Amino acid sequence: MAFLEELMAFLGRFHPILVHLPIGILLIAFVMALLERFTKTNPYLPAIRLALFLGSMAAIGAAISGFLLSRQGGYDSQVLIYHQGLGIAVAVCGILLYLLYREKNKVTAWSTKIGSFRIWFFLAVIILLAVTGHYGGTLTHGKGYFTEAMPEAMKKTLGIEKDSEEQLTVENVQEVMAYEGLIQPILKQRCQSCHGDRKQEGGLALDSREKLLKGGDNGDVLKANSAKESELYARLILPEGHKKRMPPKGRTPISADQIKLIAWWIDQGASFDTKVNKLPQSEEIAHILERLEKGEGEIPATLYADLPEAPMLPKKKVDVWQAKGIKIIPVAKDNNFVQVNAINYPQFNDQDLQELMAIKDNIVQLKLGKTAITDQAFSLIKNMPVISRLHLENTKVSDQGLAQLRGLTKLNYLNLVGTQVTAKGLESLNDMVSLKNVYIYQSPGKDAKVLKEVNPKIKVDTGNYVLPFLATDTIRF
Amino acid sequence: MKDLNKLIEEAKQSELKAVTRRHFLKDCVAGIGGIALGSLLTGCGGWGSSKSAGDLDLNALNPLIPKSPHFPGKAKSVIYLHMAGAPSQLELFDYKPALQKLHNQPCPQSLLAGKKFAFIRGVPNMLGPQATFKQYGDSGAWVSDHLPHFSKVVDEVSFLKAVHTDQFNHGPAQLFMHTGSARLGRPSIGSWVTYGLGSENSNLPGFVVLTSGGKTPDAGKSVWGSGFLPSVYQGVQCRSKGDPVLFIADPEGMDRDMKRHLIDAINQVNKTEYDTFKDPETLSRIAQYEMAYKMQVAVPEVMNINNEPAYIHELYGTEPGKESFANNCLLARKLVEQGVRFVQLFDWGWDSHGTNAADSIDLGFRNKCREIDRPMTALILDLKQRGLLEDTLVVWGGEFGRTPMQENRDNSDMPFLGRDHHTDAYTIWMAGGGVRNGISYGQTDEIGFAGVEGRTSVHDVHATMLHLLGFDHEKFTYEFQGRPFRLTDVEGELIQAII
Repeated sequence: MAFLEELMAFLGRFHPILVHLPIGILLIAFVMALLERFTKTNPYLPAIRLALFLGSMAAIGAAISGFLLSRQGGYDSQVLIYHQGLGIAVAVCGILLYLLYREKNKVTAWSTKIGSFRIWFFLAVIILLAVTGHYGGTLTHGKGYFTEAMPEAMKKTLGIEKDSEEQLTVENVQEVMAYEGLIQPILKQRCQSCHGDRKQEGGLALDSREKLLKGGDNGDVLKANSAKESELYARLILPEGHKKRMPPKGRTPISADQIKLIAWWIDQGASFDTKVNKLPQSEEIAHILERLEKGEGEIPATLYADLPEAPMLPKKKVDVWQAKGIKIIPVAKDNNFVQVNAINYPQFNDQDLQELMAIKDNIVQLKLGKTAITDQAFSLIKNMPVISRLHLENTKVSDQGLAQLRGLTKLNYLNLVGTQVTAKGLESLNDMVSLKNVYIYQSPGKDAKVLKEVNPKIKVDTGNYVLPFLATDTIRF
Repeated sequence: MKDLNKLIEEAKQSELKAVTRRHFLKDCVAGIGGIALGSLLTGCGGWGSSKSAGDLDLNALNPLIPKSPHFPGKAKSVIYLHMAGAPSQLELFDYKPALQKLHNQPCPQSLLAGKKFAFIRGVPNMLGPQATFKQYGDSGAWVSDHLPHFSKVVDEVSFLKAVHTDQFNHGPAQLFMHTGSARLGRPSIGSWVTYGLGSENSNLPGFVVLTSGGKTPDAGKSVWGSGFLPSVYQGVQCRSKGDPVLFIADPEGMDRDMKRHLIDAINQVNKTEYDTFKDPETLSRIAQYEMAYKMQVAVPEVMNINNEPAYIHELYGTEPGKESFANNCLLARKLVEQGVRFVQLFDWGWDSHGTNAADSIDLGFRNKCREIDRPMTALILDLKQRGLLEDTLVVWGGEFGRTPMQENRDNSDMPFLGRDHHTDAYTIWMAGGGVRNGISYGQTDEIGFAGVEGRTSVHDVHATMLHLLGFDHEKFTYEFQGRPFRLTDVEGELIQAII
């Protein structure tokens, strides 16, 4: 009996190969049926019949092997039910179709009726086949396999939301239970789509304490006090591309900090009812916990990642600017956001800026220090929707027009060192939400306290630092 | 113009000498085929138009043109302050009261077993901290009384307290610290960064080196060498006295216009050369002449600190015309302000063995601290007030640490207090450029002998620096001798706690 069980399991593994046969054969039968229907000639009829017969047999084979495969478990049960039901339906309908396309001995009114109707039934079967295939794909590759790789532009038109990776935040992290409040949320976020109540790949579920302790098909995954010997941890640190590495290729990877927390929890005894603050914490773990509490990402999500996609850069125009000495530097490879730097083109003026408006949606950083721009520039800069760092140091800009920057929602750095901007001018910026650092050294506004008081989130650096003279400065030994 | 014609004539002559019968035959055949192919391709549109040297974009030829990293980096420039000779962490940042209690007691065998020291032989005595410590700032960082100015800016800084290396001699350790390998032949980190990011200012070199303390580092110029990277990425050492770069001023009787004519003439000859042989190296040559011409104006300007206002001189403690760490700090700020990518400072004189007064922990070391305390603090403050600190990474450190034991050179008594080279633990600090403020990461044991928590290797420091500049250190490679090379070899992990 054991042999039979094993054999059935083995045959089940043929399902992913077999499924392609009915798809291919029924499709070609459909193409021939279309020709037969709409060209009014039927040299294809015998071929259609043969194809339908073979296709239906293949569908039955696929259904049987699929059933054997499903017995091994580990699949999302809801999707599995759909896939199974639809698969059987395809096989049954295939046979029905074969009957409909049987050779007719005599032409009756009934058979002509069937002749014109059967193509629509065929179409329905093909749609059924496609849907079945889709569910099958979902079972193996997971939900969202398609949309994940879809071009951003297409997603936008189709209204598909980007999978926003939710930042794990744990309030009052030192007071929560290490397992419940810390480890379980990580497992939930990273593991339970495959090792949860719906799907238990390798027989492993991680959604409860009991199941975690029970382990998977290959035994325990947790060995208290030794992360290295615990499969739960060891699988996470396998080299990228290793076939046993978890989470597997194509899934959102688990972060370095999360891996460290899991290792720490196991090494400290893998206790299920101890509070975080009762476990000894190394400096590193303390930092990670602190960040978790503040909801700060670990490797700060790359800069500018929150911005909408930037349009392509106009190559020709960029070349012209570069030749002049205006540097247009993409912030990263294959990234259309740019830093513009006029350090080698001090004669840069408002007219040049006007030309740069062609890439206004690309500029995240504008370095116009020591150039010839005037207050006119503000009326252009205000139309740069993604600009986040603006250097206007040592230029002639003044309070006139500074207020126009207020509408910029991404601006966080503003360098006004050595300009004519005064405290009064700065006042106009104090309701900006994104602004974090303003540099006003060597400007009339350097005495400004205004901004600090009204919006404490904005740091105004007025400079003029001095290091007092100390007696020890000159004592020599 | 006469000169120019003469030059061109000479070039033509030498070219003719190189032409043989073989060339003639080859050109005939290739020429006929070329004509046919040319007309075919133009028929297809666009392909047949050849680009002559006349409309070559000199910008595109420049190997130092700004390039983009793997992901947007927070740091755009680096100022690396290297204290050559290796300062004692135990007198500056790593406060060990327990070591004071063990002062003058013989070092336990367990610490010496299996260890090798540069000079310590037999059983040395422990040496308590020769400074008084206090906690400063909101971050509560420990700083000794040797750095009274620096203690005021600790909240801008993050400390790595348990860095370790595997080299206990200056030369190899400095090479390791700057090239990721204790052996010669690898590019320095400044070269890697300039290779990866280019230079934002096309009138200045991308990687500048300034030295002070009377000597250059023990490892020689290889610590700013370009190794197997193209030599254009090596550090340009600028002198603090006289011409910053040798022969940068025009010789007597040569004015700027004449120089322009000269360079135009040379470039024209080179263009003719390029049109004939199509060797891309010729193009780099043209670009280099152009840059040298521009540098003649830009370098003396940026390297001149005479015109800085008096309060800036007071802030840094600079004295124009002298070679000093203070002058170099001010220059570093000016260079970074002008878009230089990597500024490397070396200050020599930190090798406090206790063999003489200048090299002792109790005397000479304190003088060295005085020399750097004000300038490096001023550098941080000056970068900050100009809005430069946010994207300038400042790194301070030596090539290794110093022992908690007093040195007993060759098992004898020493005239002054000193400490031997030590590889297991030392302190490095970083500021700006995306580094978190006010963190102290890593801890050494009670006597500061070895790191017990948050240990970081030299490779980790490099990986973190590259990360801040926008590079994945595992993917930032250069193909050499048939395989890709990395700054971090096969090691290096990001120091997450400070980024």
